[in-house]
Amino acid sequence: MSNSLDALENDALARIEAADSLDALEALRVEYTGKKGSITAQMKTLGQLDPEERKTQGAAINAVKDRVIGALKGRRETLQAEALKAKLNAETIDVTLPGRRRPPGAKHPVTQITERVSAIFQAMGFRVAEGPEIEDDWHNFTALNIPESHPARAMHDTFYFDANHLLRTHTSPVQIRAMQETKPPLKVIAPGRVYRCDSDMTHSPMFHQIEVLYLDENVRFTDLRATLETFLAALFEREDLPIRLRPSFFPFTEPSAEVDIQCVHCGGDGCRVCKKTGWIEVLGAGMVHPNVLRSVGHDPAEVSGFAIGMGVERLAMLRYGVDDLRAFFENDLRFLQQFQ
Amino acid sequence: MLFSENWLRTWIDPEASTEELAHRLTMAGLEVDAIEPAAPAFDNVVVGEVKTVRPHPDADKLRVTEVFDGETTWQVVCGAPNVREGLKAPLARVGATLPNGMKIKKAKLRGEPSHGMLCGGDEIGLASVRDGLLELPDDAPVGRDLREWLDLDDAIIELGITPNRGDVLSIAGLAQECSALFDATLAAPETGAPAATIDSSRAAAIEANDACPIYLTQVIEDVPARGDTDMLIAERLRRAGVSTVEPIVDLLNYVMLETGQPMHAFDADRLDGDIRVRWAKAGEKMVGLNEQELALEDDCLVVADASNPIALAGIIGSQPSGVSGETRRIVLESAHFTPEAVAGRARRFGLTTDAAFRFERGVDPSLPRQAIDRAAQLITEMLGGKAGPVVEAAGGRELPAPAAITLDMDWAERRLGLPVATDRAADLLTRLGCEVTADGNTLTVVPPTRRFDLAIPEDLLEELARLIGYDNFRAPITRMTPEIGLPAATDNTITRIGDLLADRGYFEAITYSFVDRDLDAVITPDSPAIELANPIASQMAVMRQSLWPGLLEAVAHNQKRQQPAIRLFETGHRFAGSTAEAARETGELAFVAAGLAAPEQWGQATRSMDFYDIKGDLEDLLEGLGLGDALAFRTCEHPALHPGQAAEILIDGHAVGEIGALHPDTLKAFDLKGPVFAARLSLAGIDERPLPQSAPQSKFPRIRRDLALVTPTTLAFSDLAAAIRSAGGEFLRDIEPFDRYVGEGVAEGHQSLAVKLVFQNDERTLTDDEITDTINHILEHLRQHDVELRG
Repeated sequence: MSNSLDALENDALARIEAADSLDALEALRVEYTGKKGSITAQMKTLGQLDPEERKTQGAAINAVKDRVIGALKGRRETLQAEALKAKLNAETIDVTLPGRRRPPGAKHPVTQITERVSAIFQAMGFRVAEGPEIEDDWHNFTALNIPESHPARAMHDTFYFDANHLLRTHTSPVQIRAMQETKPPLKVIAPGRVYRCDSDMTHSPMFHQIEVLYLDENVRFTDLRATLETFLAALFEREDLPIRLRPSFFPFTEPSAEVDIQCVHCGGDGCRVCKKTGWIEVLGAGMVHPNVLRSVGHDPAEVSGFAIGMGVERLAMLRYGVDDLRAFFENDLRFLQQFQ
Repeated sequence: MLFSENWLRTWIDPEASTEELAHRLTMAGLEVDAIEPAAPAFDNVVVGEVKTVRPHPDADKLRVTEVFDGETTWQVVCGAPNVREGLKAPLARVGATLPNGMKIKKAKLRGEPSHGMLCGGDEIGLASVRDGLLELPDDAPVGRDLREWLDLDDAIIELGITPNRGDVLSIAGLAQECSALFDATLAAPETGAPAATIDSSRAAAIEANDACPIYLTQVIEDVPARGDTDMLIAERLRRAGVSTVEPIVDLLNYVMLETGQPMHAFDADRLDGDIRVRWAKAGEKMVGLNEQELALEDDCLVVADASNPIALAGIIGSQPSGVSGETRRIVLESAHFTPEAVAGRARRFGLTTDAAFRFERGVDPSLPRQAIDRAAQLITEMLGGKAGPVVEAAGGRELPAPAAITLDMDWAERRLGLPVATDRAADLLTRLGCEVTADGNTLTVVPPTRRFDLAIPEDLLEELARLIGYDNFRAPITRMTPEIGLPAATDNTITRIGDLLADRGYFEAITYSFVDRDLDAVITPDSPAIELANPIASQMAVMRQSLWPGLLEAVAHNQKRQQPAIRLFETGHRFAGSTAEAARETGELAFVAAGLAAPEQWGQATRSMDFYDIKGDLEDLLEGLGLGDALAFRTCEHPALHPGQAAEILIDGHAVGEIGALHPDTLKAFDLKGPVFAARLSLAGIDERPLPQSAPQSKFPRIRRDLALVTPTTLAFSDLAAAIRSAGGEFLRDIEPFDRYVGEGVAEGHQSLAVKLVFQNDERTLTDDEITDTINHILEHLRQHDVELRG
C-alpha cells in the first residue's frame, strides 16, 4: 500500500516539476488534488481500513497531499515568474532612442543679462521703472544738464522726429521721470531700449541700457563704490572682484567715473579681451549733478544721490563671449539657441 | 588726441616710465587709449649725403651713387627716381636692421657692389606710402644717427579726452596737468615775441561782443618763398596726428598743439579792407578751406572783411582768403571765441576741425597774446619775414574770468564719504593752478582761466577725488533706507511671460523699433506711422505700430536658413498716433510660429503647424498667467490675417489682441513661405492676474457623459458650448470636444462632434437618472440650433 502511495507521490512530483505551463499545472492539480483526483481517491479508501491503520495511512496520505500542494504552489510561482519575465522581455525597448520632444526656447541674451542685473538691484531694494522711448528734448538733454550747445550732444547722435521730440539716446531720462514722480528716498533701476544714429561693426542704431538711481539724504561717493562692488561681484559671480573707478565726464553726474572690473578672462594678467591692460570697462557712474537735482525741484543741499548707467550688449558680449554686436539683432535661431 | 611723449617731457619730465605716466593719466581721467612707438624699430640708419650719381651699366632703373656717411664715402646702388647729387637721405649702413627685419649686408646688384641702402620714408616707418627716397632738409647733419636726430625713440600716446577737459588739448595743458599729478615743476620753453620791424597792421572791429571778447591781429610781410616744413616740426605734427599742409599753416598748427590756442592766417593781399567779427547774415555764403560751400545762418559767428565772410569764427577759414605757397603778406589771427558762439555749428555743416574741437570745449582766454607772439616768432625765425605790431580789438566784454567757489570741507566729507584735510585740499587745488584761500574749514577757490569746467563745489570734489585717486575712497555703505523692489504677486511681469513662452519652445527676438514704412502698413494700413526726421536707412524710417513687422522679417531670415520650425516672441513698445507729439507708446507681446509642429522624430508623425498649435500656445500661456478662465475668442477681420483664420483675443470680454494665420498678401510682402501664424496682445490687457483663491475639493465622484453631436459647421464651438451650458444646469462642470469628423455619413454643411460633459455635485453623488434627464434637456435645447444626436 505504502509503495503505491510512494509511487503516486514520486510520479506527481516529477510531473509537477516537468509542467511547462500554468494550464498544464492546473490539470495536474485537478488530477491529483481535485475532487476526483487520485490523492482524493486514496483518502476515500481509508474507510475500509481498521482504525489503527486508518490513522497511520491517513496521516501518510495527508503528508503526500501537503507535499504535492506545496510542489504545485512552488511550480506555479516559478512559472508565473518565468511568464512575467518573458512578458517583460517582450516589452523591452531601446531606451537610447530619443524621447518625444518639443524642445524649449530661450530668452534673448540681452534679456537674460537685464533680468539678472534687475534681480540683483531688486534684492538691494531697487524697483524697476520705465519711461517712454520717444522723449522730449527736456527729459533727454536739458534736465540732465546737457544744454543746447553742449559738446556732449555731439556725442549723442540723436534720432529726431521734430525740434522737440527724439528717440531717447540713453535711459537717463527715466531718472528724471522717477525723480518727478517720487520723493526721496528713491531707488530705481530702469532698463530699456535706447537709440543712436550710428551703425557699424561696434555701433547699433538701437541698443539697451540699464540706469540705476539712488537718491536720499547724504548719499556719498563711497556709497556708490560700495554698491558697485556688491553689484559687480554678484553679476560676475566672483567674490571680491577687484574694480577700479576712473574719473570721467558725464554732464549729469559730478564727480563722474568710468568703472572697470579686473579682466574676468585672464584675472588681470592681460589678454586679448582686456587689450593687455588687465581691466575691462563695464559701466559709467557718478554722483547726481546738482543741476539735475534742481531741474526736478530738489535742493542739492538737502538731497544727494548716485546714478549708474550700463550698456547691456556690452555686458552680454563679455559674459557670453559674443564678439559681433550685430548678432544680437539678427534674430538668427542658430545664435539664439545657444542661450538656453 | 595724440601727442608725443618726448615733446611733453621737454616741458615736464616726471620720474615715471611711459607706462607709469600713462597709468597716472588714465587714473586721473585722461584715459590713455593707445601707446605706439613714434617709429618702428630700426638701427644704424644715418643722415647720408649723395655725392655722385651715375647710371648702372647693366640696369636701366638703377643708379650707382656715392654716399657720404660723415666718415666714409660708400658706393650704394639705388633705384629711387629722386636720387640726385647733393640730396640728403637716410642711409642704412651695412649692419643696419630695418623695421621689416631686413639686415643690410654688402651686396652686388647686377655686378655693382653696394655698401648700404638709401631709404624711403615707408621703409623706416615715417611714411605710409612709397614716394622715392625720404628727402631730408639741406641742413640735416650728415652722419648723425637718424633716430637721434629726429628724436624717434619716442611714444605716441593717444588720449580719450572728455568734453569737459578742453584745457589739456595741448602740450602746455598736459604739462600743467602732469605738474599737478606728479607734483613736479613745469619748465616751459623760453619764447619771445619778435620786435615789430614794420608798421603795417590790419585793424579789426568786434561787433559781436558776447561771442568774441578779444581779437588780435598781426601783419607779417615779405615772407619768402618756402620749401617744406622743418622736419622736426613736421615730425611733432605727425605724432599729433596733424598732417603738414604749408609751412605757415603748419607753424600755426604747431602753436595750437603747443599752447592750445587755435590760430589762423589770412593772405593779406586777398582781404578787402579791415576785419570785423560779426554774426552772419542769413543767406550769406562762404566757401571753406575744404572747398565746401557753407550756407551761413544768423547764429553763425564769422570773421569778415569789408565785403565777405573770410572765416567761420573758430571753425574754418574761407578758401579765397587762405594762405598758399604764393602768399607773401599774412594777417595772423589769435582770438577768443566763446564756447557758446562755436558749439554745434561745425557739426551742423558736417565739419570737424581742430579749432572747433577746442573752442567748443573752451580755450583759455588768456592765451591769444602768448600764442600770437609765439607764432610770429616761429614764422619770422624759421621762414623769414618782417612782423608788424600786434593790434588788439577788444569786445565790450571782459575776458571770461572764473568766479570764486566756496568749498566747505565738512560738506565735502559728507559728499565724498571720507575726510580730506583742509590744508591738503588747499595744496592739491593750488597744484591745479587754483588760487586758494582758507578760512577755517572753508576754502575759497578761484580756478585758473583754462579750467572752464570748474564752476561749482561739486567740480572741486571731483578734482580732489581725482588727485587723491578715486580708488582711495572706500567705505562701507553708511545707510540705505530699506525698501522692497519686488513686483506684486498679482503682476504678470514680462519675465514671467517670457519664461512661459520660452518653456513652450519660443525664442525671444529683439527687433528694431523702427521699421520699413511699407511693411508697417501691411500690418497697420489704416493709420500712418510716426516718421523719423533722420532715419539711418529707408527700411528703418518709421516707428513700428506693431511688433509683427520685425518678427516676420526675423521669420523670413530664418526660413531662408532652412529652419524647419520657427517660434519667436518679442515684447516691447508699439507706437501709435501720427506724430511724436501725440505718440502713444504701449507695451505689446507678439509671437509668431511657422513650420513643423514638433521636430521630425521617430516617435510621432511629422506634421506642419496649424492655427490650433499657436492658439494652444496662447491658451497655455494665459493659463500660466492665471487668466485661463477669463480668456475667450471671437472671429474677427484683420488686414494682415487670413479672413477665415483670425480671432480677436478677449480677456473678461475686452479685446486685448489678435491671433491668426497670415493672409497670402502678408506672406508675399514679407517674402515668407506659409502658413505662418501670428499673435499679438496688449501687455496692459494681461499684466495683472487675480490672486488664486482656494475652494474645497468635492468628495463626490465626477460623472462623464460623451455625446456625439451633428452640428452645422457654421455654429461656432463657443456658441455650442454656451448653449450646452445654458441647458446643463448647475452641476455641469466641464465641456470638452474630443473628436471631430466631417465627411461620409454626415450631411453636407455639418460636422460630427464628440463632446465630453462632466457633472459633479459637491454635496452628494449624482444619480444616473438625474444626469440622463439633464442630457435630454440639453439635447432638446440644442435642437433649436439645428444640433442633433448622431444616429
